[in-house]
Amino acid sequence: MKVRLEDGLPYVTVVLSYRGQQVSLEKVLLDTGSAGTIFSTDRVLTVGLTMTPQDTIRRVRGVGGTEFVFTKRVDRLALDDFGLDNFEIEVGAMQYGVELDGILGVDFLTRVGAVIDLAQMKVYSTPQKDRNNADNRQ
Amino acid sequence: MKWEEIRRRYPDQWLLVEAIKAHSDAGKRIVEQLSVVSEFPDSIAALKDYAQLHREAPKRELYVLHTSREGLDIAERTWLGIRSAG
Repeated sequence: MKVRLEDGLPYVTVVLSYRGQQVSLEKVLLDTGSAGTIFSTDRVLTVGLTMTPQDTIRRVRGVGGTEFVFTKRVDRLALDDFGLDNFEIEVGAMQYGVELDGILGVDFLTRVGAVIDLAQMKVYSTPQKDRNNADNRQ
Repeated sequence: MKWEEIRRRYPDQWLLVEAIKAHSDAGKRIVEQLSVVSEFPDSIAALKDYAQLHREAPKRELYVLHTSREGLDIAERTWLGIRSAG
């Protein structure tokens, strides 16, 4: 998957599947400084994903203040040829002063064994047999 | 008001609420006192209002909650934020 630099930040396109519907999210930040993966409330509403009464909620505390998010399991989250099924995402207003559809955090990147290659401007997934991180060790 | 009292007064309802008294403890946000900002027929409308109010007043601690929720189990995580060159 190609990585695009915009205003000095690396972005990828992600396909999110939820209850038989798919949405392609074009401005998703690759962020090794974020533990979690989050998507914008407005963007995921296009596949019918919204908050339900018993969803887990969190408070994300950052430099610019705090925000409220809820969590949801999506059927699949994928970059063109690799991804994860039944993956938990956070959903929030994402008002960070930069227009974004979402953030791919370390939880997702670790579980796919992501390699971010900024020389080739590509991100790819390490084959399962060659992984040796905590989440993938067998 | 405490969450139990809000649940009694607004049964089976989507609400936008503001934490009036709260503190953080061992990765959890403990909200002691809340006030109800507004009521909504569904979560979509509530989240839309949250986004608008959060933009106008980012310092207010707001949550969208449904009163069928028994306890306020709010985990906290920190994030450094985005620093763009643009």
